[in-house]
Amino acid sequence: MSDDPLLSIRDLRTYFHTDDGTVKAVDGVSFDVDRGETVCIVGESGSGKSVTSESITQLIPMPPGEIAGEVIFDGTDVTTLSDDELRDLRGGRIGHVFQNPQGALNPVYTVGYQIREAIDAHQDLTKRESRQKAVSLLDSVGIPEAGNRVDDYPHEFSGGMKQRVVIAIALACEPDLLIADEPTTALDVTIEAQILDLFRDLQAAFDTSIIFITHDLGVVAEVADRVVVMYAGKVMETGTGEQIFENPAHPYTRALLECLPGQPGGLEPIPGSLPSPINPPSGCRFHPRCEYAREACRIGEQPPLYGFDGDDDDTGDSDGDGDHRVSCIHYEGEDGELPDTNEFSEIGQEPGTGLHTGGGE
Amino acid sequence: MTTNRTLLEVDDLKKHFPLTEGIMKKEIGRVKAVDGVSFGVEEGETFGIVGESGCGKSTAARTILRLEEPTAGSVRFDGRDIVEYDRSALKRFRREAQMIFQDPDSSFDPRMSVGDSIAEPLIVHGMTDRKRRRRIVEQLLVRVGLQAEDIDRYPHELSGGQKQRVGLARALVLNPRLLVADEPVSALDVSIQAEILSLMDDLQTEFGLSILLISHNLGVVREICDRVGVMYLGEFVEVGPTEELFSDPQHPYTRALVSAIPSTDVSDDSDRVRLTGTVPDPSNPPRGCRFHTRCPEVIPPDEYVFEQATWRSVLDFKQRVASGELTVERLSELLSPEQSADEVDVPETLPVAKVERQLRTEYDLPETLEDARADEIFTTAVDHLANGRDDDALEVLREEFTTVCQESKPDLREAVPGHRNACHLADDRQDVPADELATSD
Repeated sequence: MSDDPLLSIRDLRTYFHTDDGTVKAVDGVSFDVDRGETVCIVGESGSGKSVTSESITQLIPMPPGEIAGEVIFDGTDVTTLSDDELRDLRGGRIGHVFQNPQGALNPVYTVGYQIREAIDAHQDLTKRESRQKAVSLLDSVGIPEAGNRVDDYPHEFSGGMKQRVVIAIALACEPDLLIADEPTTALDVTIEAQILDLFRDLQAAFDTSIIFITHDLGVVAEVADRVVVMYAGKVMETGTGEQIFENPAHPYTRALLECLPGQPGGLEPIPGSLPSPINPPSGCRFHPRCEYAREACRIGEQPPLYGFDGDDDDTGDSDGDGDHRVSCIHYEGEDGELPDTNEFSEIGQEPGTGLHTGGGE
Repeated sequence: MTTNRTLLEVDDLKKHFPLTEGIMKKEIGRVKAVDGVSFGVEEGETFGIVGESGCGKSTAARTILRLEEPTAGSVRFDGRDIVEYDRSALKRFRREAQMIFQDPDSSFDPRMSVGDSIAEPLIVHGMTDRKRRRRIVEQLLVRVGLQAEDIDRYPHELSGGQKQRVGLARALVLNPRLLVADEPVSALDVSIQAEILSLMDDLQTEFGLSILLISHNLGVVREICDRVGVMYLGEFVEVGPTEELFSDPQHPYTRALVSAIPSTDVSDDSDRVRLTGTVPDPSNPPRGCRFHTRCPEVIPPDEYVFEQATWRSVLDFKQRVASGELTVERLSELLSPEQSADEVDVPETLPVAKVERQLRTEYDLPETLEDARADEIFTTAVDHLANGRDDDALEVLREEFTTVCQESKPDLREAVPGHRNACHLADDRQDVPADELATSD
């Protein structure tokens, strides 16, 4: 096993050409996924998180879609692969789990048949062997009496059980990478907890890398090793789960955390709405809704991802290697700038204090 | 904010749906969607109902609005029973109680402009002055955070959050006193949820509304509700003030729900309560406490010494035997899962020791149970199973492994003023002397 990341995305740009103009759904996204690691992509709907994941195996329709940039999976640039090679990759070394298990399963075939379909597409097994494999897969995703349930139809399973079946299908070929797009959003909170446990167990058992897409920061805190916060097609902040939750640096990340219901301190909705994907604002894409915005935020391009080392020492591996990065001009430069952000966050806590004057001169 | 005047009073409300068979529609069973819930909502108060899908919370809301006829029980709105309303009284009730729905995409007619949708209730209730209608709608649009110009736009031009704002405007146009919100934010993004929830909060203060909120999201409930009822299989298991209920949940089901909320506190590694299995069939709910089949704190019999987790596993085993699913055929599949039962000949009997080992791993039971007598019973039951005598196995287990949770149904009783809870554990602690519960040997 090498030290290179399993998946390395560099400057990914996914555009859709529509009658109204070009929708820049993903606009220059870079991140790595190490082996055995869970990376969460969070953001509101329309932030480009799902399109990012679908661009990896090119599940998006092309045209109108267009993908540029590099997607290096285990040393190979996926964007240069032929259709046949891509088909081997999808469901083979990269598995997908989708949001709605109801829609992901075919109601007229047994779940065993659908799992075997995934196995047979990539492996040369006898009927008996693939049936055994289907049973053991169902067993490993925690379906009791897998040997009997394998011949049942999707409608005979509850929502949580269906999602387990979908996960079993995604795991059928022992993928190196599992992409899970909002896998628990359609489920009850008790079932969600079970499925999240399942992901953790499976990862420990198979050493699979997982890309987990969600808009629920609570779920992120449960599963993530690393977090990528996206907004309007751009990466706003990346870091370990601890770094993001204990020391959120980007104003957008902080705003997202504040609008979680049921947390102490009350609700703090983000003012304004998502910018148009066809004609995004210049400068930092979050500036129209940001209370820390100053003149420099409004011009030019999205700021680069600056290293942030304001984490407490006890949050671990933050010193030096710069894995906590934030795309905000307030974090430009070396440690010297950091007191500024503290000052900012203090002002931000007092309601009604205009921050535009705070940094605007 | 609340005035202590009860606006809505629900007493032992039941809604059963008959299951019928054949052309004569003979009743063969009943889905007890709502099976005896009681609560009150004061003026200006927000009452929340939480529970998993299928627990009956939406049916309760619909029945309270008389969108479904209640099977039994009473719903008193402002002192009068809504079942006894005549046509005109019902029409007035329809004005005073409004509802907003989960999915803003499907709750509007795509061919009606936003203004027409909001004004429709005004027309229904007899406001004929077109100009006046338009003025009211425009004011209301501004009030819910949209613009007066949006009145001529169509639903497809609006985002999900904006549509839910229009939904609120439509619910408020008749100046209701009660707003029933069925999962009002679960189809929305987190940031939009926050907007809609704080808007609901503002509007409640401004209009002096009582709100009945139905949600499976405990975060949402905690955010805006004054009091909460936790529902399981058509019944309340716990009702209490929100903060009390979340910080010190009394019922094991509430504890499990609260602990299942994904938390953003990454340092919090405390052991979570995990519920196994899913909600049982509401047409055939479990005896006794309906939650006992999944309850992690189910009470062990006094005759035996059990670790709590072991007792849970033993009961899971008993339930499986009771379901009649542990036949020799199934057991042989368990022993050699790679073979489908159709492909090999199933022997009449199975090696007892092997079956026992397999079942112990399957149910996370230790090599020998802590209690020697209990272990003996378990072994006897397995022996019966392995030799195809399922009924004997069940009888042994039924006789010996009993729990008060299955034997009798706990009442929903007040432990602390204003906080009701239905659990034998609480009875044990509060007012029933311990020896009264102990069954004599």
